Amino acid sequence: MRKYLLLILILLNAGLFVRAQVIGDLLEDESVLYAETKQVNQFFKRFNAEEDKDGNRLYEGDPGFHDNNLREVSLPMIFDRETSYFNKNIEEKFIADVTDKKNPIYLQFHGGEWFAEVVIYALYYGRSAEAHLFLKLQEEEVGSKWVLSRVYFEPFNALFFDNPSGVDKFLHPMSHELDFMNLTKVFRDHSMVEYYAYDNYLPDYLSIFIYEMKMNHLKFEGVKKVKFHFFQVDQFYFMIEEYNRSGFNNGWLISKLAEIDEKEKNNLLNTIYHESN
Amino acid sequence: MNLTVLKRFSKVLLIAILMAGTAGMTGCKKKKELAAAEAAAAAQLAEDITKATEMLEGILSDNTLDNIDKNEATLEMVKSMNLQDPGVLNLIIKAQEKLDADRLAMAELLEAQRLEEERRLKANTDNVLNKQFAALTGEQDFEKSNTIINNILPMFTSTEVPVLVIISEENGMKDYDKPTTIEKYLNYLKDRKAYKAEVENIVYDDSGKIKELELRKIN
Amino acid sequence: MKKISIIIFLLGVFNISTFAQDDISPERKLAIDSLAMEKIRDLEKYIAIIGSKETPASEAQRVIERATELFMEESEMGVSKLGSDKINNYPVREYFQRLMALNYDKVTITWFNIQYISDLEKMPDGRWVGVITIYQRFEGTTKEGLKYKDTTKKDITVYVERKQTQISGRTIGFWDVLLGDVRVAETKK
Repeated sequence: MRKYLLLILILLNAGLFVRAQVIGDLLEDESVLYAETKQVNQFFKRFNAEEDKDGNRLYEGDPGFHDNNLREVSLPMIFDRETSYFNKNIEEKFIADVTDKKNPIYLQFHGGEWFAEVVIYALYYGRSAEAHLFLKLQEEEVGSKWVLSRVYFEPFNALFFDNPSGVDKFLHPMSHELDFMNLTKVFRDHSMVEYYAYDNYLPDYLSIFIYEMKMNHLKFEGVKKVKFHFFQVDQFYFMIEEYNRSGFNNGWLISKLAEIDEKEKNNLLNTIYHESN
Repeated sequence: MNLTVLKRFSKVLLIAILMAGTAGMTGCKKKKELAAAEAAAAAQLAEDITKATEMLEGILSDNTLDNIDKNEATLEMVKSMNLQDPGVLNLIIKAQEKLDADRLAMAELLEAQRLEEERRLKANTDNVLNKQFAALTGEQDFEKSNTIINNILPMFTSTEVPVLVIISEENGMKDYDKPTTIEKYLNYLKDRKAYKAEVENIVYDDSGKIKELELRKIN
Repeated sequence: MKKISIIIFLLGVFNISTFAQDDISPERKLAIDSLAMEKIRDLEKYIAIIGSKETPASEAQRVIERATELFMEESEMGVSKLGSDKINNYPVREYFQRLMALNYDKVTITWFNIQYISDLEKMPDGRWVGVITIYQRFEGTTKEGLKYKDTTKKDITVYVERKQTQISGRTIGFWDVLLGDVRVAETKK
């Protein structure tokens, strides 16, 4: 029975990305390697139908380039089918929108709304910790580069607005007449200083992160995980991650898909960035 | 008039007649001499013209390219004779034209021979080089590979001879891989065990050794 | 600030359309890809020679030099094993030295015929960068006959720059291809 299931799975998945022929130095079946979405670059190409089944680049005018019929068939194959759950209706709507003959949507490497979330191992005052770095691709006068846009680090987060009684704190409106001598009390209890900041003040964790690095309190130990968040398809959000496993459903695949409106988008972004309004 | 005067007059007259006669007799001799000289000159001229004509016709009838120098010297000599004979002058012009054409033909012939020699040498070396390179990639043993390398290197001016590999060509503009040296390239072939190029052009130095090598990448 | 944002936005939009025009025709890109792949094949060959126990030490050392020359300075190998998130970074030369020193009686290194070449992206310094993915199979046998096998995916950074040089008094234009950081990940296959 397992053999039959495996066969069906292979037939279902192997469709467009299978290469049966074995040539060159190697020994084993390479189909699995062809099936794998080996690079984020390849994820873009497969999403957009900008490469053929062998991974060769397609250009405008080549058969299959941006072919929405092909995309309808191939898109389901770049979802993680082994560990993620997708609502069938949302998935179908997403694919339909993206492959719409009149207004197809292709992912943009440059200029589109997407960013990276890199979870790193760090040592903070000698203790192991994890930080989330958010990076975006910034276009330069010549070329482009990845830049740090935000940071989330739990130890920083724990420092700010963690005391409910803080909301009652304030410097009264006649403080100026006493040369702001009550600042002494503000800073005597240094755990609540942020409550005396302007309305809607939010700490900039990126600056603190850089500061702590410079002061050698924070040390980078390594990269733990990389994910990419996409907001390029109107009314939809999806995330991709890399899967290292056997089988044809492998490599960079969509691990989350959600249908969202503008308000939900803002909430979602806050959740991703671990920020609250 | 008396007799004395008459006698005196006769004497003078006689002397005059005699003088005139003598004079006449000297002019005659000179004329004869002159005539003789003129005749001799004319004969000489005729001979010169004949000789010149012969030489010029000799030049014109020479169908080989073997005597260009000699013919040019002959033509110069005829020119220096300064003969004004229209026939000769005409032949001089023709001979000059012929010799100019001969010079040109000779130069073309030499060039063709040079190119042929070069081509022959290149074909020979191309084959040799291509074969040697292929032999190097086919040799598994390190020591033997090094021996092959040491056999190839003497064909080159030095171990630093530049090797250029064309990777693509568009509208006559060549794209190259990073230039390397022959020693590095041979070691590369030894390591890589793949020769995916062919000889495109070889530049030799004066002693016949290769001072620059251009290859074209083939897939 | 708004003005700058607009400019950056416009640059971003402009960049998408100019990227295609900015340069390299598909044919030329293919030639460069081909050249880059040759460097990768060179690397594969050098790795096989360095790792093989049949290579004399002097030859292996010479080949380590040649292999290191393929790379830009300060390039590193970031290596991870299955079951661990930890990535260990080694300067390339050290990686090759370690490879040579592996304690096996017999080592066989081969490559799958597949390779994936990304687009070439332009960097702010004017050079181009791309990534080539290959898969390597490693088999080591100890003196006692124990076998170790692994398959690794290698994502290799490739830098491409157009340069010029003088050869015998004339100017030659060439593509300088150098390798950079390599991500080596053991795969479950």
